[in-house]
Amino acid sequence: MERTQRARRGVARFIGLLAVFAVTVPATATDRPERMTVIRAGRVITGTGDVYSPGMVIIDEGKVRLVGTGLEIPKGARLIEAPRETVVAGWVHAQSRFQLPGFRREGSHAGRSAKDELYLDDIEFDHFVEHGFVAVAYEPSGGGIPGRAALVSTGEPKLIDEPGYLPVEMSNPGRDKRVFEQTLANAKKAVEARAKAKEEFDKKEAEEQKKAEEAAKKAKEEGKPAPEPRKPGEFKAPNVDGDVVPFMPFFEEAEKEKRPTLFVKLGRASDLIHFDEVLDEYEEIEDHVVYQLLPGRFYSDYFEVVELLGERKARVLAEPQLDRMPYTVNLYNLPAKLVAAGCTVSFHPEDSLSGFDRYRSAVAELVRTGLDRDAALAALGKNPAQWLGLGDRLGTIEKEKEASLIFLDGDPLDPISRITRVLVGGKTVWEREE
Amino acid sequence: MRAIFCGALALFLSLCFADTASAQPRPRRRRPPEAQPAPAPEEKPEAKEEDESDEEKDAFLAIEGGQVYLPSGALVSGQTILCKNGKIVAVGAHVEVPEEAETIDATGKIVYPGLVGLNTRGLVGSADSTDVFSLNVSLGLTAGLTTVVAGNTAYKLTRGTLEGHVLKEGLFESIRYDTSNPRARAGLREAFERGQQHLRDLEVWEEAKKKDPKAPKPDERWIRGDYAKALRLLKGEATALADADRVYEMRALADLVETFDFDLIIDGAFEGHLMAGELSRAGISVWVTPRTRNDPDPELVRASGASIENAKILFDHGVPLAIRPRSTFISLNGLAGRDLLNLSMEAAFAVRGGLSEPAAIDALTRAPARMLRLEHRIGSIEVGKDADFAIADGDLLYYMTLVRWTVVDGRVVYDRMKDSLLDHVRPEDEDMPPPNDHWPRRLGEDW
Repeated sequence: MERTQRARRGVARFIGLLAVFAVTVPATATDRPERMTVIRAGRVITGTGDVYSPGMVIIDEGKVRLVGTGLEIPKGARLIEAPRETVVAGWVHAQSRFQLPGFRREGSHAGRSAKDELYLDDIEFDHFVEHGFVAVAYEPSGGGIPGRAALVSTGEPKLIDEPGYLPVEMSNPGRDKRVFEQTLANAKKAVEARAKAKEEFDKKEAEEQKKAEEAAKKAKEEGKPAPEPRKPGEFKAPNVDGDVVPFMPFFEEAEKEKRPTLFVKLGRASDLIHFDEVLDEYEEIEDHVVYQLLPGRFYSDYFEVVELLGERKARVLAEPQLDRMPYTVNLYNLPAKLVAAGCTVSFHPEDSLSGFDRYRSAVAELVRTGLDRDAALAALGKNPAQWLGLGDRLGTIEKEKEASLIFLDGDPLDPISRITRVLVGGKTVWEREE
Repeated sequence: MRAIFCGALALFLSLCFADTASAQPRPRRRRPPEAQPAPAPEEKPEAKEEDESDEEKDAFLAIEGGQVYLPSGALVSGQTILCKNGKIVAVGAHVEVPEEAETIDATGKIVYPGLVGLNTRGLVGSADSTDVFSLNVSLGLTAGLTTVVAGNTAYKLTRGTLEGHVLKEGLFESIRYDTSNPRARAGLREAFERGQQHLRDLEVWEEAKKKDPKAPKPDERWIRGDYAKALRLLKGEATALADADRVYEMRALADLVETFDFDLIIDGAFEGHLMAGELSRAGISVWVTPRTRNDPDPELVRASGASIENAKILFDHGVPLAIRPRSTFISLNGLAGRDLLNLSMEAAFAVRGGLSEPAAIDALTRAPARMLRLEHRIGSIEVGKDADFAIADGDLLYYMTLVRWTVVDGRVVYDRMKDSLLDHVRPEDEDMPPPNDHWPRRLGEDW
């Protein structure tokens, strides 16, 4: 089956090339019709601020080629007609351990990864797909710094080749604050030690080189055959603990690109104050922090630090729910307050099937009680995708991004609307059966 | 520093200016939301720009018009207290208040130094785990507490921030010297003896070194455990803390103190009134709970048992006295009125037993500060000390008095009218409409 498809593609490519070379028509969407999919939907919400109603999405090789209204349909393209449906970009679950067993681990294990415990065949990714999640980040379990998260594309489950974020537990600062501080201190020390070693090595190397040159000169003067040219030595960096390595780029300007995102898990408002003590000492990490506000058991007191988070335009990950004021039955809309204060918010569902089921209506309730609608939509897909380093692939319907789309038979934030179809990478991976 | 003392109203007013209170740079993030200066009015755009550029601006707080409880025990009215960056810089009737200062109109209120809670549990965790927004911290502040001792550390109730949270670590060396464990008792005595001998040996060595620089130093490897504890006490580096209630227990401790000369605090001491002179001579401090009731022992010929006059008698004999409640945590489930929430009532009970009112207030503020060796920072309203206040509706020892504001390190951390914990009690304005929302009210209308 796949082989024939590939063969067909090859032929199509050949014909396409012929067409381009034979008649120099401008390259449009009509070039390679056979491998294209065209969606004609009642409404397309791109996530970049545009809403097309009716809207069309043209998909080429799994990537979005064009979005708009009244686009020309390439001949022979596969057509998906969805006149009553709304199409949005697929959602991203930024923090999950769905169907993974929990275990306890303390201290710093930043060198590990959730990949080590993740067997893709053992997890029913269909549950993610049918709730609209096209990508999910699995994170290791435990306190302290348990290790890197692993990113999975859910359609045809496969690991995404992108370094995951580092969860940092801070909901028990009495236990975890020192662990984190110590790890950062060790990383800083390791970077300094490496720089020092490199300096010494360079000095030694220069000396050796000078010596060799002198020897060559002397040999030349004496008319002897020149000695073999000296091979430059190889620098061996001092050994570093693997759990420290992921933090080292924070202290080295040259490795700026490699700096990981830290998902700092807070259990209550006070934990942020404790975390800030670490932040005061290590300002390098500030721009790479996502604050995850864990839901309180009965209530939460995060309202105390909304301004503090807003001031620094923090990235905040939270479960969509109305929080309860301490010792009262009064509810308040924390995400709305965070957004109003200047934070960027992402949501993630509770890790259970019922949590997945409730997810969209919970977000809808937040919007009904004051959360900005665009912020809520961004919190489902765009923001988490960006924070996971998938911003150029997922999150919005834009040219050159993956065609991972969700079809709904109503507004995405209407609790009674249902997901009818999910595309991952241009392929329909799930369709509602009536 | 210049200080002016002038007489007024036939009493005294002290007016002091001090520039010595060093401007502590405030880290940007640790400043909690409520401590931020109010936004500058819009008609002064220039001033606003300055505010934004100068991050480490001095924070002023002025408490105006209130009666102030001075260290002498006098209440003086019409005073202004000016605080800068968490320290008191001026107290007096004619204090110039900077324009940008946050002000509290304390007219009709009495400004007391912040109270000290001894031996508390559950208010704070540790430097690494205190929940700075917890209900118990708020409740402690409603009682006027600003400093609490938990375990062996003194903490400030710095609500919403960890800056200045830990005040002093390693306060006490607790010792046990009771008859129930003769071996421990002998062990402690031996530790003291050996420590004393060691100090003598050191002196001898110092002398010997002058003649012979190679003189061997006395062995120090044995100094650990009880020996280290005893040596610290003998050197005066720490204060000993011991539980003792009965005369025979306290007498044994007094004997130990007189023999080895170290600082000792006795916690409990309900039979202290029977041997106040001995305690005074030994220079022992006590923590008492005036409401303790303990009947005389009928098997004894001598006097025994607790007395309501305990605090008074101890104070009259010159025993340094601090007051602590029977249960030392904030409890809402148990018997009300016996915990830290009613610390001032515990002192009022001592007044019922004959203690003078200034002495009772002192036993909540300055006396414990001195016992913690923190009298240079807390315990009284004096220039140069920390700006910790409990601003009360009236006399702190009156049963209907509530704390209106609590100030810690120059920050208003509790305002009864904004924090709804006790805002339904409103003796000052009966006509005020009841609050229509619930704790915490400081969020404002739109929450």
